[in-house]
Amino acid sequence: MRFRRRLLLLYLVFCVGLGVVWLRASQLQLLDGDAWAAAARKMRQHTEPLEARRGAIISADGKILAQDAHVFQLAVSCWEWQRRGRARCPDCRAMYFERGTNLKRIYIPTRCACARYAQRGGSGELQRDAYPRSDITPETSGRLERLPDGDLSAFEKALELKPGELARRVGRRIDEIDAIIAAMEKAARAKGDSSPFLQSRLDMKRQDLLMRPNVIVARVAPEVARLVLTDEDGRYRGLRIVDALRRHYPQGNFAPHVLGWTSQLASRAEYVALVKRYGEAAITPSTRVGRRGLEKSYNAPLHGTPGRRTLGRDKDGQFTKVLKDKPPRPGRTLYSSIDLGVSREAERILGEIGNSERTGGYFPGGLASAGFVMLDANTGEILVWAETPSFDLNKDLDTLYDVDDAEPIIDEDGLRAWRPRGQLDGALTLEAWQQGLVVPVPLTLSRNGQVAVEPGSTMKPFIALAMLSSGRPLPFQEFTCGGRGKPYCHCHRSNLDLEGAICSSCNRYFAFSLRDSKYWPHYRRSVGAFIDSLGFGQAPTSECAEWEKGQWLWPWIDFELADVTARAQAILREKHADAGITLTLRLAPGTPARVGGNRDRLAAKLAKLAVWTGKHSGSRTLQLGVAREKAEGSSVTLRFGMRAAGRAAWFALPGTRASQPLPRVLAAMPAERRGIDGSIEQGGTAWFRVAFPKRVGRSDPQEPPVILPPDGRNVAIGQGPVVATPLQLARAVALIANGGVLVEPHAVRAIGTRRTTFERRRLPIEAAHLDRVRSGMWAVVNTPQGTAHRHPRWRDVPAEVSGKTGTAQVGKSWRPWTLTKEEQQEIGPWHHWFVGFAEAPGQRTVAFACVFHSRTEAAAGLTSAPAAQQILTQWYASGRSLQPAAPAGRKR
Amino acid sequence: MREMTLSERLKSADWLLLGLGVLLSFVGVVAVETAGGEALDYGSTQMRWMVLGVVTCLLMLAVPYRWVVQFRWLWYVGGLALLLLVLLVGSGKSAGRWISVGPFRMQPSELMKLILVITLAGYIRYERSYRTFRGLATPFVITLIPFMLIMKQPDLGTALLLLPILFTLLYVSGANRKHLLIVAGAGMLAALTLYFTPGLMNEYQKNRVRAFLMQGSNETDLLRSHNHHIHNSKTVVGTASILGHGTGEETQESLRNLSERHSDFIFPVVIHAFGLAGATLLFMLYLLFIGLILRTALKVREPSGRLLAVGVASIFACQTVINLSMTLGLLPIVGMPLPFLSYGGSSLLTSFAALGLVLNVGSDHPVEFGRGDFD
Repeated sequence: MRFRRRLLLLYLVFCVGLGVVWLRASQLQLLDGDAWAAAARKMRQHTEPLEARRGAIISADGKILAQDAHVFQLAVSCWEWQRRGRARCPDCRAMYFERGTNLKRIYIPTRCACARYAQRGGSGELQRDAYPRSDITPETSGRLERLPDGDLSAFEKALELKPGELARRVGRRIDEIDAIIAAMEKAARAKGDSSPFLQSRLDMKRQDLLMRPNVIVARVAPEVARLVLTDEDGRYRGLRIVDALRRHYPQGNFAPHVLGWTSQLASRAEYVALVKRYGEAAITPSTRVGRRGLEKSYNAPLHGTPGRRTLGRDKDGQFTKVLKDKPPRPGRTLYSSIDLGVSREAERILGEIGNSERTGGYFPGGLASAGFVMLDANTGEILVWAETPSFDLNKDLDTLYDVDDAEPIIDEDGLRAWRPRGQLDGALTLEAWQQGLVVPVPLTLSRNGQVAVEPGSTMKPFIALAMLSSGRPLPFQEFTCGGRGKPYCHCHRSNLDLEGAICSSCNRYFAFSLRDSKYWPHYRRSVGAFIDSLGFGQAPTSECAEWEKGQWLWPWIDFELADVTARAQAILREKHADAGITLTLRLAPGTPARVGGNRDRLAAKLAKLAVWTGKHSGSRTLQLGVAREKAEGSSVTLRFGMRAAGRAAWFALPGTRASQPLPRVLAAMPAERRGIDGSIEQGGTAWFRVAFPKRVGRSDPQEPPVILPPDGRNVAIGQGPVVATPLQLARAVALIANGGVLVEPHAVRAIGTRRTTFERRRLPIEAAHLDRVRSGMWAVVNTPQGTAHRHPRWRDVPAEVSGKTGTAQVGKSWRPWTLTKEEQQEIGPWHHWFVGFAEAPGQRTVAFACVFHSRTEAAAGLTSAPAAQQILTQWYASGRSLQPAAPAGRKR
Repeated sequence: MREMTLSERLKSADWLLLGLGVLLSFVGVVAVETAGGEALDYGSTQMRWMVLGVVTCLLMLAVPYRWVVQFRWLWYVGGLALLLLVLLVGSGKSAGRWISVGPFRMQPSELMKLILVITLAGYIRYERSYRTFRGLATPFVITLIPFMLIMKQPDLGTALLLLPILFTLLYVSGANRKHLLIVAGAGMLAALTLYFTPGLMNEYQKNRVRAFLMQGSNETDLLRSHNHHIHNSKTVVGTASILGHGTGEETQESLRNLSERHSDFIFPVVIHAFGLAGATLLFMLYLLFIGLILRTALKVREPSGRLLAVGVASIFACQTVINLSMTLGLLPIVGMPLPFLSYGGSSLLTSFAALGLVLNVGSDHPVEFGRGDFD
């Protein structure tokens, strides 16, 4: 009976088990049916983002400057690449490819008609398709012929890559994926994720990333793509061809700095911003962001709105049926004001003249270095833009970005993650790219917009305007130029008035005005204010509406002390995060908040001092005190003190010397410029002094910009310290041409159908003063005494041209880091300028600036003036010089 | 003692039980054919295995079961040899569980389940030491040797099935329940050690357990990889109606994402095609089937025959409950077929051989000794 009872109990257990199963099945079907039906629908569907075509950029003469185009890219599935084993059936020649499973590597047949030769089990052919003979390897089958891994050397040659380069790039992708995984793990740990499945999740993510196609060559030719697409014998196993939209610049090397370029997402902040705008599903690793020029400034309208496509499976199980289609909305077209035809002609002219003997050919090999920019004097529209040398934007610049920003981008749930590519086409870094093209100014800097140099005598009309506007009489009614002495002048004219001085570009007239005349203090103040309002001596790209932030070639720039403190704090966060130091800034009364100097070097020094002070004081909150000590000559000296916050009064009593040794950052400085007051542990201060130069636009903001006495003569003849770009000079000339209105240069006249509008600012300049300067500039071109009169064929220009030549020689200090030591000693670059404006009835009034950089002292009248004349001739011949209807919506 | 003739055996065999087995197999053929769709002809292959299985069943009926039990050690050693052979030359998609013999492949671990039942039945029939705590060692060793070899393949599901067989046989034969509980507790501890000690379990096996535990969580990655079996299976079950969607195109579309749908995950196919009503009928068939086997165990008085019937019932019952539970997300996924329904020759032949053994036991009428053993 006991046996019977036991059996009954076992049977009961079985019944209960089945009952539980039945209840579970009922629950899934009857209670949760709707949810599972939704899940089933989701599994049968696949949604993919559709990248929007980026808007085109069209020139004023209707030529395409930038547009999106479909390209083939070479991608790699790193996972498959690591399993490139191949074997062949000796009878039917079918291929077997290596694959990995959970436990081992196996070989999958493709279309083997005689799979029976391979080792296999009982269910035979019927099973073959569903269950490939997955246990087959060349070793176990005893039949398969193992093939060597595909030789890619010929393929690499077709791609114009070095031998072994593909494997190197794949290795780099794997490294990047590992970096992503490491970053994901770090982020998860930082969020306190202690899930026991974290490692498992990361492993799966890694495999997922390895399996995805990772682009390793941004563009491949169709015939190369065909090799991969038609590969049947697994020679290119692991490689994929993917189709992508990429930026194409049909004009090649035309105005790359104006057009700018795009690259992939480079930071999480960018990712978040785009997700906020377009939704997470729309953002892919290939999403592009404008990085420079118009591509950056007009990124929002150019970007377009990504679309989305929902696909269902066809009867073969492939996602080919389109269930829902939300097409992407292309970006809007930008209509540039730049005339491509005339600009191309201008490039040609600059090249011809630049390579002539007159300029000596600035670069070895005769490559000219020159720039020409022409504006509509009334609107600020950039009409002609030419620079030489230039570079081709199509050289895969769409993958370019700063390597330092290449932090992995990971979304909130870790499903989507990628590391932006830190390489240009996987091989060339931004740094290498720049270095390779330094000639001697990096090509990424625009000669017209971003390279500020001494303007030479082109400053004189503006000095004249400033003197006239100073409210004081002119220093000389009739001036006799002796020629010799400082500064040297080659005009040797007598009885010069202001117009005559401009016409013959008399150095001594202007130099004496700002240095030795009776009213020189007034003049210097007026000149300082005037050239400051023109933007000279400031970060050059701030003058163009479309460059949000350009690069400033000089390491010495204006900066706020608060800004340098923030930079020091950023360095502390990045490099000394474990120290956990917080800096607070306190300015002593009378300290200027803004100075000019090497901001980055100062920030690095402060960060080092903070680390040392934090370590010795034991405090994590430090106070940075800045006090003005003295302002003499051309500099102002500031004292920077660092101490633990809240431990002592401001600046410890002097004389109580520190017992600890000086930090390394201070020890390297002269003894009178650094020290430690008191004991750091007890709130003492480690300090150092820095002398900042006082220059135009770099002095205290409370004080009006002034020209300091030692700089007066140099400023007057444009030999420094005031520097300007061609764009700034063209803008300033436009002010003379249009009657005192400061326009904002811009290169886009319309976004789609909407006209762009920019601010115009009228400066308080009397018309009579402008007329005097204009007549002086007219004489430069149109009278025999004019410096630009002799060589150019001005009669070919169907307009009244006024202008001013300028030649600046600044010797060894010009961009010294671009030259070798010997070159720095020997070569002093010369800048040959010609700026001016042209006006004719019924035609646009245009203002222009032309500069040549050369190794010889050729006069501007022989280089820039003829170039400007030829370009103006082309401009008027193009028929685009007619006055357009006034654009609607302009603020006046 | 005179052995029964073949005609006597055939006359007294439980044909209802065989009929149920064939009916279940036929349901399996239909389900497998549905799972294969138009492209894959699983159904006819399974039908061939079914015919072969019935022949095997009749062959097992022809041989007196006592002879089978008498040569238990021979079976056991042969089974172990096959398991060792699997480790040396085994093949398979992911785990090396099969031995290829010419055009055929066999899975020795399937056969080992039946061999273990025969071996343990014979051992318990002739030994009484299992009633003491120390005496439990021998049956455990007999079980653990194939257990370890099967784990090594690795085939966690089949290996774990050996333990309920052992416990069931010991329980019904009157082993001390306290001893069994102690051993079961120790077994649980061993299982936890196995899971948490690095290197003892494959990572994919651990991930399956993790995926099972994480079914309702937001671990989307897990859901998409290791959990997708469970998720897809539940989706198929959840979208079936009461009466099912039949075996047509709609079912094919729904099953597309369900991998192993013709073998271990055959139940979602059945329930999707024939609905909850069909699944209920299937459950009733299994209940009746197991009930009839246990009735056979009650009917015979000979101890080894009793144990053989109970052992075979435990194989079928455990496999059924575990397989159904894992397809519905009640248990972690292990490689275990649904008896008579899942596609696979080894499984079907072993099932029919076990059924033949039970029929053999039921048709034999040895001399009764008054009170039945284990009472």
